Amino acid sequence: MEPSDADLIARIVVAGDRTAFTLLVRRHQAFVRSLLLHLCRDHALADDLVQETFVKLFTNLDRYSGEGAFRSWLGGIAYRQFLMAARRQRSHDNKLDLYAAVPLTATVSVPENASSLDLDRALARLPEQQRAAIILSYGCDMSHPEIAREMKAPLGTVKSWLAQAKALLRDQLASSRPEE
Amino acid sequence: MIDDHKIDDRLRELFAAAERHVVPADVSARIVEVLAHQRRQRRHLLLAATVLGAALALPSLWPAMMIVTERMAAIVHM
Repeated sequence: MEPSDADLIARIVVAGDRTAFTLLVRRHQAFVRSLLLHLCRDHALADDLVQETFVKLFTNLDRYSGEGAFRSWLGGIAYRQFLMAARRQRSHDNKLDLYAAVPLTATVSVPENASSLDLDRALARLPEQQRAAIILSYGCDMSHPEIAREMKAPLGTVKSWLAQAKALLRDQLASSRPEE
Repeated sequence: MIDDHKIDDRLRELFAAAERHVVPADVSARIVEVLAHQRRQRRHLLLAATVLGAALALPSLWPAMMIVTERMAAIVHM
């Protein structure tokens, strides 16, 4: 039987078990990479950030309290690595926007159908905070209070970002495929 | 018109599909290497700090201090 995340974490924290850490990385690396690709839309940068996320995970694993899903906690680490990279990029390029300009044709993965491609593109067009809130909510399964904590924003603001984002997505999807 | 539930379902499916399709390079070996490198750096810096502390107290250790300074410079440039 596959050991649970909690078992692996206990083995890593208590005994520094490298095999357990390797298993944990292999189990979650697709999730982390997909999440970072949605955030930065740059394959090379996402790969670097995946590595930084797991290094950070290893050094901070003893801080995981077990409250909330491990996946959401790991997603939070990945999001913070993305923010740090975006800030570095911003100071380097003297850009005001935290997020690099997203090429609207860039897709995160091979979409399973045309409508998911539309949604992927519509997601890329969202304002940065709305996009991040959607990614943390649907990509990381974070609760609204968890998103508020992660994005350092009031809970009401997060709810408002999510509602506005969904309205924008609805509008964009309706205009791209009016027959739906 | 696309309702709220449909948007919820489609967003969940989008992220689930992305995770299924993304083929990550196995980064576990590389991460273990990075962690080992960081551990080595920490050990070197700790050793350097110890020798420097001793050298400040004992002038006879100043030649060793030179070696340590070079080592620290190498670590900083790693």
